[in-house]
Amino acid sequence: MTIKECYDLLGADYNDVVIRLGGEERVARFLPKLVADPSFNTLIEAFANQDWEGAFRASHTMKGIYANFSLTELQASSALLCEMLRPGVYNPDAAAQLEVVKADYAKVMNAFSKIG
Amino acid sequence: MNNIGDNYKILIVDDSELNRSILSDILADRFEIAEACDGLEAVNYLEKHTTEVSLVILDLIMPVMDGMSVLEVMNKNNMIQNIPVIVISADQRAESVERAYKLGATDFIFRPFDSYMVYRRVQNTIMLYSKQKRLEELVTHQIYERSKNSRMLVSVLSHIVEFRNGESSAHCLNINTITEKLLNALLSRTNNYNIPRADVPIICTASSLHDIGKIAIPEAILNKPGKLTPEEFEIIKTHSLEGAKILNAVPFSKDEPLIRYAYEIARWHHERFDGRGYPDGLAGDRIPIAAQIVSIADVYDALTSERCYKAAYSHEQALDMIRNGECGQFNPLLMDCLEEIAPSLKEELGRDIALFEQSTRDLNTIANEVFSNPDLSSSNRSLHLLETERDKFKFFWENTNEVFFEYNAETSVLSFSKGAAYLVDGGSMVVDPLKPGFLDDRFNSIVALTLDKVLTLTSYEYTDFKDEVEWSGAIYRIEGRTVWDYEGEEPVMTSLYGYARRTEKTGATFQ
Repeated sequence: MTIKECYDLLGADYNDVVIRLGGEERVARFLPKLVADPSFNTLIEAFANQDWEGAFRASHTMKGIYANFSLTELQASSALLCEMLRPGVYNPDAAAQLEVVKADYAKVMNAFSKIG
Repeated sequence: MNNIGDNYKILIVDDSELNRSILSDILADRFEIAEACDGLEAVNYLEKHTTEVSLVILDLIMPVMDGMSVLEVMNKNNMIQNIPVIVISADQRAESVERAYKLGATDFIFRPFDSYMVYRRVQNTIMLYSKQKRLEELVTHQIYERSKNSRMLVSVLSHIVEFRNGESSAHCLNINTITEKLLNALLSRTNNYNIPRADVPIICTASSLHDIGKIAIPEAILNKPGKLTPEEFEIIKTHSLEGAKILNAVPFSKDEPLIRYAYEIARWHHERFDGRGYPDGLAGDRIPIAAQIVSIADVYDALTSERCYKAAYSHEQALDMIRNGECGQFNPLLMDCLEEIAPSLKEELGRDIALFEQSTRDLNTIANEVFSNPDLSSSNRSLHLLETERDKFKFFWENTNEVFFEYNAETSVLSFSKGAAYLVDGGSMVVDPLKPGFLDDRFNSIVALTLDKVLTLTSYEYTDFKDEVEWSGAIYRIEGRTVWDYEGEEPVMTSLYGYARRTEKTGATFQ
């Protein structure tokens, strides 16, 4: 599967990321780094330790990087989680939202694993 | 890509390695990149490499120390004034954006960022900052040039007038201050005299040269305590024409406004509005306005200062004497101006002198102070600087029996130490000694001999000269150095100094 096909599968806009990052070559080069990015694991770990500040930062980073790669769904769910975790406004719905993020993340990683 | 290249270093501060590497990839082909993974690392890096970093790209949400704290630190240590910061954040809340801008961020880029936009904004910011830096350098340079100009003139003044004239060194500064105040008061009333505002500092500097002609007056008369005889007074009166002659003979810059004003002031600062002054008996506004102003300043300061022939009058007494016409008639308009500035005059003059008593500062500081404090004119500042230098110089010059001399090519003035003066007809100064034939005809001394040798035997490549020569039956060790300005296409000699010391050897043993 090509990267473009993968984006199509995810309902994400491939052209958008190509324009934003300045070329297909750069997208291809940085996608493995996106897959290897530790933010998701940091989020899970922080959540388990009830480190809400760490969880907030991790979700904030995720929101930024998935936005940069035009992965709209995952970006939207992380952004929502991020707002729930924002220091001072902790929302008990965050745990449920984390499950949404997990599902979106699995979908993206699953799609990317088929590239090749 | 105008002049933007690898010599600009960008510090990328972001806790996400992925973000840093994407930003680095976008910018690395044109800029040198450094990375920091949190605020603390960034601050440490900036402290060690302040001058190297041209721009910071800053994430806001980071562990250990966040982006706002980095901005706060950069405010505390003033880095924010010199290093532009572009904030990149997914945090779009207005309060964050506002806070970042208030803390001095130059620009704010929201995630998701567009690579082309990041590149462009970084480039534009760096170009703006480097343009501003170049402009700052240019202005600093121009202020430096201006103060150099003042230095040149004030050094002529101090050499020529104050060396021989028992006046206090505050005299010229006071004249400067009063002239400036009168001039500003006049300009706020009328512009009938066609004086551009930009000429105010020039006229003030030129006022320092009002008594330059006193070089031509014998010291015995200048410093005579008690009343002068009518003959002696006639001799004193020649100083205005003599001053005009000297300024007219300045080989360079004759058309400069500074020299033009100085000429008017030197020649006509003893004219009076009713035509009863000297040397030309000009009346009314036939007397150039700069000279009219300086004549009031001169009279006021002379009255309120102690001189070898009189005690100081009080501020109020001096004003009364001027009002009553005891010092001659002045332009009624200028009298109004004097009344306007009178209340502040006494206090202001005292403050100016206090200002000049502060320690010497370097020229950069002067430039900075002028930027931040428009009330201090740079000419006053440089006057102060020169005052200190001149004092030091004068001290050594007056307390040595050695034959020292210095020639300043900018002013064409050759001056001698006290020890040399007896060799040169008792004078301590000669104007334009390099005129053809001047050295041969006017004075024949070891100074002339040394000057001639140094001039002919040094060059911009070999600036130093040493020898032993015979003069008038004795052997002198002579040494000299020429100083060159290498800025232009051809090196130009700017000054020359040297000394001659009589050795134990006699002419006979030398041969």
